[in-house]
Amino acid sequence: MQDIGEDIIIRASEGDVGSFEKIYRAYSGFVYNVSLRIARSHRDAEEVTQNVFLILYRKLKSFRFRSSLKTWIYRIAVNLAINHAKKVSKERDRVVEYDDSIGIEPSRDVIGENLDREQKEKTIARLLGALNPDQRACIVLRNINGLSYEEIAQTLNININTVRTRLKRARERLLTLRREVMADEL
Amino acid sequence: MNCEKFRDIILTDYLDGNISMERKIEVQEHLKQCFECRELEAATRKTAVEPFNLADKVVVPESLWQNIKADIEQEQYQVVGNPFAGLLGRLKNLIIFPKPAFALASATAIIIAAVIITRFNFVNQESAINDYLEEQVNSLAYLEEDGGVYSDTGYLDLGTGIEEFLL
Repeated sequence: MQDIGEDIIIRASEGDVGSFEKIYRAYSGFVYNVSLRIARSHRDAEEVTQNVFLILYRKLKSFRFRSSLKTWIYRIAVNLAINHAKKVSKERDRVVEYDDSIGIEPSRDVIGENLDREQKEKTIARLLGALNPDQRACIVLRNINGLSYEEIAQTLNININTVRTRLKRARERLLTLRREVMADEL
Repeated sequence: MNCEKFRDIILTDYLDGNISMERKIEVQEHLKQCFECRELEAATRKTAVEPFNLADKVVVPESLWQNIKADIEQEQYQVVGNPFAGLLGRLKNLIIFPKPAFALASATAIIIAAVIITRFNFVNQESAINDYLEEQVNSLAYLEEDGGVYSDTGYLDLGTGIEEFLL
């Protein structure tokens, strides 16, 4: 994720669409991917991403540079994605749709690799689907986005021990799921 | 340290590398001696850590930027075309609205006052008080319990709980 200069942020806050597009290009990848993993469908990820950047556009004037823009966007994106996931949490069996029209990097036109990739994505979707949105967010931020415990705590505005607790419970849940699957296979 | 403590560390800090060298060695020594903890570490790593390490990055659809850009330009057009657009919003910023906590306290005080008045029969107008209470409750209906905000895209909970307004 590239850094955005203060002058671009100021111009974007004054309504310069070109500058705002630079901010979008810098952060949309993270926002979309984290939304996809937490909200669990491309349609929901698009909705969350759109809302994140519309909020950002409207609120950019109030950004006081007390924290980095990246941290601020992280917080908006993750919290919106969690809230969105909670609203649709009744649909527990939804799986991330593997859509060939949305490319996955790196892309090589090898049938075997594409099948492996599809299976891998389905596994990830199934694992994340077994968690509640709060646990899912912690696993996504830690294991997919590589944030430290402190960064996760700042992003979610929670205590660092709460991060630990949610990670622990998420992993315990996944271990239970694994035991259930293995029991079914016997 | 007993197995329960090691278990918590294995499920979190140890597997995430968020651990001092000294504590890491302590855990590794325990794993050499404890079959159950060794099994737990291996199963957790395989089930709950490694699958996510291989997650691919999904490309953002280009149409998303076009939609956002269209919304932004629409908003700019509305502001430029209508000199009064946003005026209400600017006026609102000049007027101090009570924060939810303050309004909640106000509602509580109103209710307590009404109870005291009716109980001690200071004013024998129960129906008038009930009407007044209902009016106050309705006027406070816009407040959200958990400190979210309204935007044109709907209600957005930015994770700010009511307790944060009290801090």
